[in-house]
Formats: sequence, structure tokens, C-alpha cells
Amino acid sequence: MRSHLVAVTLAAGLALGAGGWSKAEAKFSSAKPAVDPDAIAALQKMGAFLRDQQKFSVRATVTTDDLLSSGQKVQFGGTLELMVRRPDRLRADVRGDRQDERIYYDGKTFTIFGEKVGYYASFQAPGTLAELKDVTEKRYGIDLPLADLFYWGTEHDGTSEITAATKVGVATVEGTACDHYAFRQKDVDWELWIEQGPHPLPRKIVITTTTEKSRPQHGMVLTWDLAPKLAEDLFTFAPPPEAHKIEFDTAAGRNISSRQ
Amino acid sequence: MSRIVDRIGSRGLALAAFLAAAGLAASAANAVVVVRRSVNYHPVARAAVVTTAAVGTAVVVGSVVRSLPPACTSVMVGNVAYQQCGGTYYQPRYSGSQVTYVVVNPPR
Repeated sequence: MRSHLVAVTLAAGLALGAGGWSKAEAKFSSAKPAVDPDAIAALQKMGAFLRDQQKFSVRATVTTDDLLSSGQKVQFGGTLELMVRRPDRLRADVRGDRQDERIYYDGKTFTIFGEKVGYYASFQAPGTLAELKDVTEKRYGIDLPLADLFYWGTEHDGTSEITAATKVGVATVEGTACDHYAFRQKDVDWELWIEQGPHPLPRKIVITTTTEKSRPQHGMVLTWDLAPKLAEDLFTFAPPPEAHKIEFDTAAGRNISSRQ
Repeated sequence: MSRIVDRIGSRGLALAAFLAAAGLAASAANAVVVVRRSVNYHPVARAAVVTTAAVGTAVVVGSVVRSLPPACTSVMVGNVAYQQCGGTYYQPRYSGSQVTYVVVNPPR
């Protein structure tokens, strides 16, 4: 079943590659197909390993480019901390130069809280993380942090979008030996560093927007804990006395789905 | 309207405006206008979206802004949170993971 799926998605990827990327750069890629099956297999192996983890925490150091009105590119920074216990607990803390939010999910209620603005909003949530992702994205327009990394190797992954995939080489991220891969798809080039050895974890990600002349990048360096101690109260939001509850604009989710 | 609820949201601008409103970062907020906005988390399969900040938008009831003008105060009326900026009231809400503000009639 799985190998059949891989074959189909690879074929789609190769077809796309032949039409677009490899035409212009055929002289560089004549020896290998634009989409190296080993690079796709590495993505899928990483996805399967991530899906196997019943609980984990991960901390990411994040940098994001933005443009000033002058056209100058500037970089903002922040951190993301994600704590998950399957099947029904999630907590995310996003802190940065321009961001500040917490996400709580305890199998019953989903809450997003902006500590600096002092506002939060909640909804009655479905009972599992898998169902939650659907609701947050389609109805409320909220991306769960890092969620897409967990889908490689399933029918929901983005393999068919990939027009080029290659292993760049071996690299070290925060002292850990990794395999460095580069991928291309419409509007986006991206790179991924996957830990070598028994824990094929994503340790670094760089995403380049290719539709912009300045090619802004979004980067993350990830540190994982696969045996975290996760206290129960991490996942349930208790509003501070000064926080105010506000509503969700559910049209955000509708508009977003219509854009895709 | 659709511009306001772009998938790629910016709590950044709203926050900058909030700080400006609180008198904490007024000069910085005035000096730097970020025209491209980023995300808290950027999924791989999606390019960043370029938008331009709305400038000089008329304050019409029902219009939506990502950031507030300077010198607003947070008020509660009937257990509902508002930002009062001069004679204009804004009601905050979450659009995606970003707080946006809808211009409303003065609450009573």
C-alpha cells in the first residue's frame, strides 16, 4: 500500500520536474532525475518517525525576513516551543520580536492567547489532534505549528508538489550530524537537515520564497526532547484576571480555504 | 476585507500599534513600515504573501484593521472588550492567529 503510494507520488513529481525545472537546468541534472527518490524517501522516513512519537517537546529558534517599504529586507527573530502528548494534548508558545501567543488544547477546548495584547479566544474542540488540525485550519484559519512535518509519507503530504529534490551533503546542526536536503516547488525552495542515526528528526529548516525579488527566508533550528515531562496543567488554559475573552472571526477560515 | 484575513497574518503590526498606543514604541512604529508580513509558523508548501499596509483608511463602521491608531485605551462595556481611540471604538477579534480590530458603533 505504502510503496504503491510512493510510486504514484514520485511519478507525479518527476512529471512536474520534467516540465519545469529540469528544462532550464538540464545540463546540471542529466546524471540524476530532478526528484531524487532517496530524498523523498528520507522525508517519508522522517514523517513516519515523527508520527510514532507519543509525546515530545520541541523548541525552535526562528528567523523570518520581512521587507521595509523601501524594499530593504530585514530579519526578525523568535522562538517556538511545542509540547504534544498524543492523542489529545497540545501546547504551543510562540515568542518573538513581533509575536506573542500561546495555544492550548486539552482534548476539549482550544484556546489562543496573546499575553501582551491580553486577549484570548476559545472554541469547543474535537477529541483528537488529527481532527483538531482540520478544524483549526479550515474553520478558523490557524496553522498548528510544525504540523506539516508530520504528514510526509501519508496521503496528505506534499510530495506531488515537489519538482526537484536532492541530497546536498552531510552537515552539522548544533553539533549533530545531519543529512542536508534541498527541495523545489512552485514559489518556494526549501532545505531540510535530518538527523543521522536512529532518530531521523528535522533539525533545521530554511524556506525561501522565490516569487519575491529579495527572496525572503524563514528559518528554524529545532531541538527535540522525545521523553519530556509534560505536566497536565500545561494543556489547559486558565485565564489571568486581566485577560479579556474575544471572539474568532470564522470568516478567516472560509476565506483561507477559498484561496487554496 | 479579504486582504485583512490573508492566511499569512501579522500579529506584528497589531502588536506594534498596540505598543505605540501604550506610548512604548511610538517612534519605532512610525519609522518602520513593514509591507510584507510573516507568520508564526510558515508551512513548507506555501510562499510568503506580499501585502501593503493600509494607510489613511477611512474609519467606517464595519471596517477591519490590523493595527490601531496611536493613543487608544482598553475599555470594557457590558463585559465586551473594546479599544477606544478618540471617538472611535474598535472591537478586537482573532482572525486566524492574529488579533484584528473591527470598527463598531460606540457601545452603550
